[in-house]
Amino acid sequence: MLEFKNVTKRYKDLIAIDNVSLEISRGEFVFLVGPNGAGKSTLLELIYCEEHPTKGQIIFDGMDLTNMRRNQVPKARRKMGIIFQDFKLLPNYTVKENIEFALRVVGTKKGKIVERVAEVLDIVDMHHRKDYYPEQLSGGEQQRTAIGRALANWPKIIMADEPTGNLDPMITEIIMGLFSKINDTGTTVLMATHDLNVVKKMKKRVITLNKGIVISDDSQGGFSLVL
Amino acid sequence: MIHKGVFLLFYNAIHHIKIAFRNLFRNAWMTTASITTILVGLFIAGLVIILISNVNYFVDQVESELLIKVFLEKDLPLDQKVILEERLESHPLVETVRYIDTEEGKKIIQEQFGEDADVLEGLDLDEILWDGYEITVYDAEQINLVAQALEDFEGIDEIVYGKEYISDLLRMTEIVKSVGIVLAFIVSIASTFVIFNTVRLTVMMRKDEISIMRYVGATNWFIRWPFILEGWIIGLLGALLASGGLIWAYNKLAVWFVNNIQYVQIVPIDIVTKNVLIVLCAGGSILGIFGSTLSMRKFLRL
Repeated sequence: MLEFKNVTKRYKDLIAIDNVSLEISRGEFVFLVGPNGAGKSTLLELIYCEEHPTKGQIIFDGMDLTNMRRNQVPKARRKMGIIFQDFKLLPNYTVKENIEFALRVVGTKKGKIVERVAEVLDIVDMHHRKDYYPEQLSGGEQQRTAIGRALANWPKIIMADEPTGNLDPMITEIIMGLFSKINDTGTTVLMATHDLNVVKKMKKRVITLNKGIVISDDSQGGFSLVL
Repeated sequence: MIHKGVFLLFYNAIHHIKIAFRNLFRNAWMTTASITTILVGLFIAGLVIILISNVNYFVDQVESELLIKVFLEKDLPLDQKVILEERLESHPLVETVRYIDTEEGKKIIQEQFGEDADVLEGLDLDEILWDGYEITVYDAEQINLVAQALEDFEGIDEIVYGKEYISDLLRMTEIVKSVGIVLAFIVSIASTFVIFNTVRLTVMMRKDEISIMRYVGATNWFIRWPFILEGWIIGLLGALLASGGLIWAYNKLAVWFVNNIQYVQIVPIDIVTKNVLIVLCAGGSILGIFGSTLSMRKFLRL
C-alpha cells in the first residue's frame, strides 16, 4: 500500500533521504528509528506530501505521490491520519470539536459526524472528557484526542512523528496500547520514534535510518547497534 | 452525486460565512478600520457620481437653449447676407442656422411676453431688433469655439450666446471628475492595503488551524473561502454604509431643491439610489475580494 522506489530528498547541500526503497503492506505496524537528523520526519513528510522527492517515486494506495499537484494533495491526505509530538490540537475547540473539525473540513454530513465522533471517542476512551479544552487535559489525554482526530476520517494509514516524545513511560504504554488497538482493526501504522524501549517491547517491524539511508529493516523488532 | 454536491455547497457556505464573521469579530479594530477606509473611498466615489450625473442631467435640460444668436450689421446688403449664411451653414461644428428678420423677431418677442405684450407698446421695435441668425451646434461643449470663429465673419455686428456658463459648468465637471477619480483611486489603494492587512492578521492568527486543516485533508478552496468572504464582507459593509449615507443626504437635498429651486430639476431619487447602490456595492466587493486575495497569495501558502 506504500512504496518508496529509490527516493532521494535533497535540501541544497544536505541529503535528507538518500536513495531509499521500501515497501509497507496494508495492516502493518512499522517503526521508523534513527538518531536526530536521520531523516525520519522527512520520510513522513514525503508521504503526506509536505515535501516532494528530488528523485525517485512514491506510491500510496494506488496514487503516485511523487509530484502530486497541489490540488490533489487533500485527496491523498484524507486517506492518512497524522499525529505529532506536540499534538497540534486547536486550543479554542473542545475534545469533541477537535475531532469533529477533521470530519467537517472534508464535508462529512452532520448526522455522520455525530455518529463517527461518538465511535472515535470510544476508541480513544475520551468520552468522559469530550467537553474539555486541550489546556484542561493531561499530555496523554491530549495525545489521545489527537489520535482520535487522526482516526476520524477512516484513514488507511496512521503516521505518528514521535507521538510519545512528551509523555511519561506509563502514559506511553497506554498510548502504544491504543496504536496496537488501531492496528488490529487493519489500519497501517507508521511511527517515527526515539523511544527504543517501546520498539523493543512491541516486537514489530523496525526500519532504521541513518543519514537518510536505510541501514536495517527487521520484521521482528530488531534494530541496528549504530543507535 | 449532484445532490451531494449541492448539499456540500450549502453546508460549506454556512460554515465559511460563520468562520468569516468570527474572524471579523475577533479583529474588531482592524475590521472597523478597514470598513471605515473603504467607506470613505466609496463615499467620495459616490459623491462624484452623483455630482456628475446631476450636472449632465442639468445640461440635458438646458441643452435645447444652447443657441448662438448672431445680429447682423444694420442694412447689410442681400448679397453679403447670402455669403454669410452660406459660410455659417458650411461650418463643420454648426448644426442648424435659422434666419430671423425683424418681423419674426417682433412676433417672437410678443409671444414671449404673452398677455403682458402691452408693455411693448410705445417702443420702436424696429430700432431695437436686428436681423440675425439663430445657430445651434452639434456639441454643447464647442459653443465657445463656434462663437469665437464667428467673430471673424464679415457682416456680423454682435454675437450672443447666453448660456456661456454651461460650457464653464461642463469644464468644471471635467475637473471634478478628474479630481474625483484621482481621490477615489488613492483611497481605493489605501482600502486594498488595509483589507490586505486585516486578512493578513487573520491568516497569522489562524496559522495553526490552517495547518491542521491541511493535514486532515481540507481542500485549498475550503481554506481560502472564509478569507475571501472576510474581504468581501468588509467591502460590502463599507459600500452599504457609504451608499446609505449618500442616499440619505441626497433625499434631504432633493426635498430642499423641490422647495427652493423649482426651475432646475435634479436626477430623481430612485435612479440615484439604484445607481449608487449598484456601483458602490460592486466597487466595494471588488476592492474587498482583491485585498484579501492579495493577502492570501502572500501569506497563505497552500
